[in-house]
Amino acid sequence: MTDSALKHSQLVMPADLSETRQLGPWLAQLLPNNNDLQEKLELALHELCVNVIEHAIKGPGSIQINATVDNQTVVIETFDSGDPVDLDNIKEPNPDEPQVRGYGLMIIKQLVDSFTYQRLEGTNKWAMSASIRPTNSINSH
Amino acid sequence: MNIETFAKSDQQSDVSITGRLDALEAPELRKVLEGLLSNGSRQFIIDLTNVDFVDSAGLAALVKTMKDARSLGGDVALVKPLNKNAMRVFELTRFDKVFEMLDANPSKPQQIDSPKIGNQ
Repeated sequence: MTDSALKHSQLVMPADLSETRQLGPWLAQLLPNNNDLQEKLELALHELCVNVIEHAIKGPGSIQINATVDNQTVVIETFDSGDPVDLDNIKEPNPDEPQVRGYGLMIIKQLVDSFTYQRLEGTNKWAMSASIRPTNSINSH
Repeated sequence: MNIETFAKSDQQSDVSITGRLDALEAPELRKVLEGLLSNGSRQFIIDLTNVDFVDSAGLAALVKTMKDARSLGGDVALVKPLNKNAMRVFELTRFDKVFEMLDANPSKPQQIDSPKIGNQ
């Protein structure tokens, strides 16, 4: 892979729900020839940013979003200085017991190939990656 | 998002939504649906034909209404969005199996009694 095949983009988004409307157009610029992946990543990134705004930042702040695209993979990382997330305390919804909220992370996991969280010196880092292959399918983890 | 509601009878309301049904818009939809429930509506047909994006917060507004309506002896049926992107959240959460999902039928004549709420 040559360096010219790599594409980088960054979006710094105020922690406000109305700002999530930027995500679709930003991803459309990043992945202009892959509408299906673009739509899946918009939903995944939208769910993540709404969670960060509502449950981690909970007030003024911002989310830094970095994307790297090569010929095969798109990697998106978000950084915020909100409250740390305790993944052990987040229960996965039970499909047999429909509940009103709590589906965000479950949705994201099914839309991307990998999805990770790290707490780094006061910063939350989430990372998701997805294959750019046209046959990219929804995976459950 | 645009929401229109039509009273079909004392207990039945049709609700038509267009645009994005996301975390930003869900509180408004919830307010409208809670108003209909408190006015006596129990059976809802919510038309999502022209909705182009649904997130988990938008889904939550629909699920809350379904749970409230069912607890009062009613129910909520959804007309499927034409846009597959808007349908995705129902499939990923399996709520496409929990709600009664009706196929969109653009050629079907709409029976409209009287618009009660028009909301931008």
